[in-house]
Amino acid sequence: MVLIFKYDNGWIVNEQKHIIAVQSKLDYENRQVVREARNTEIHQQWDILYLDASKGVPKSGFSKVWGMYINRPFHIQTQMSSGRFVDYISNRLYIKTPNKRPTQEFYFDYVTRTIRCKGYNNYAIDVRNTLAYGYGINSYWY
Amino acid sequence: MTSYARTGKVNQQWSIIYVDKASKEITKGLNKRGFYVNRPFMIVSRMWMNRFISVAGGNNLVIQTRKDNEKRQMWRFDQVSKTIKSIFDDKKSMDVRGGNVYSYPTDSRWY
Repeated sequence: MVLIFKYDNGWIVNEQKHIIAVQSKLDYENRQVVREARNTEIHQQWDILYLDASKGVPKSGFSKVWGMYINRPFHIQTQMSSGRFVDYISNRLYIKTPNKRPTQEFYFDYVTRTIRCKGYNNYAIDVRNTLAYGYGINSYWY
Repeated sequence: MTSYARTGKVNQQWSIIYVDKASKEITKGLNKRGFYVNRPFMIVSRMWMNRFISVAGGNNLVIQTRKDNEKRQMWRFDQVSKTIKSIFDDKKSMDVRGGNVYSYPTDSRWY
C-alpha cells in the first residue's frame, strides 16, 4: 500500500516504509516532495498543523525564532562611534548619517523571512560573496 | 483471491467479525495512524523556512510558503480509505509513484 500513511513522531510513513521528504534536502520554494528511505535528517520531518488550532500567518508581534518584530520598521545602526545607519543606494548597502529617508528604514517580512527595505519594497538584504546587497525578492532563495 | 497451500503468512490469515459485534468506522478523533479523522490540517516541513506541502498544478506535491486559506495546502485523513486526502480536490489522495509523491485520484484498488 503506497498511499496509506501514518504519522510517526515527525515522519510520514507508508506501509512500504517509505517516508516523504523534500527533494535533495533543499529548502527552496516549489521544491518537489519525494519518497526516501527513513533516516534522521530534518528534510524528512514534518509537523501536522490542524487548521482549527492554527493562528494564520503572523502579521505583527515579536518572532522569538527570528529575533525581530514582524512588519515593524527599524533602522540598522552601527555600534561604531559614528552611530550611522545602513542605507540602500543602488542595490548596495552603505552606512550613512541618519537622513530620515525610507532607504534607511527596514522591516522583517515573516512570509519570506527576509529583511526588506521601506524605500525599495521589492528588495531584501542579501549576501553575495563578501558584500551585502539589496536584491529583488526571489522565491528560489527565500 | 486465490487458493494456496498453507504457509502461515499473514496474506492467508483472516478474522471473522460478527456484524452485531462490529464497531463502526470512527468519524472523528485521533486514530491509530496518528491523525485526527476528518480534521483539516497542513503539513509543515521542519526545515528552516517551515514551508507547507502544497498541490502544484494538478498532481505535483511541492513545498511552498504558507498562504492563508489556501486549499492547496490543506489535507484531511479519510478513515474509510485510510488515505490523506487533498481538500483542494477531495477525489485525490497523497500517493507515492516512482520516486515522487503526488496527489492522485483515490482508487479502491490501492487501498
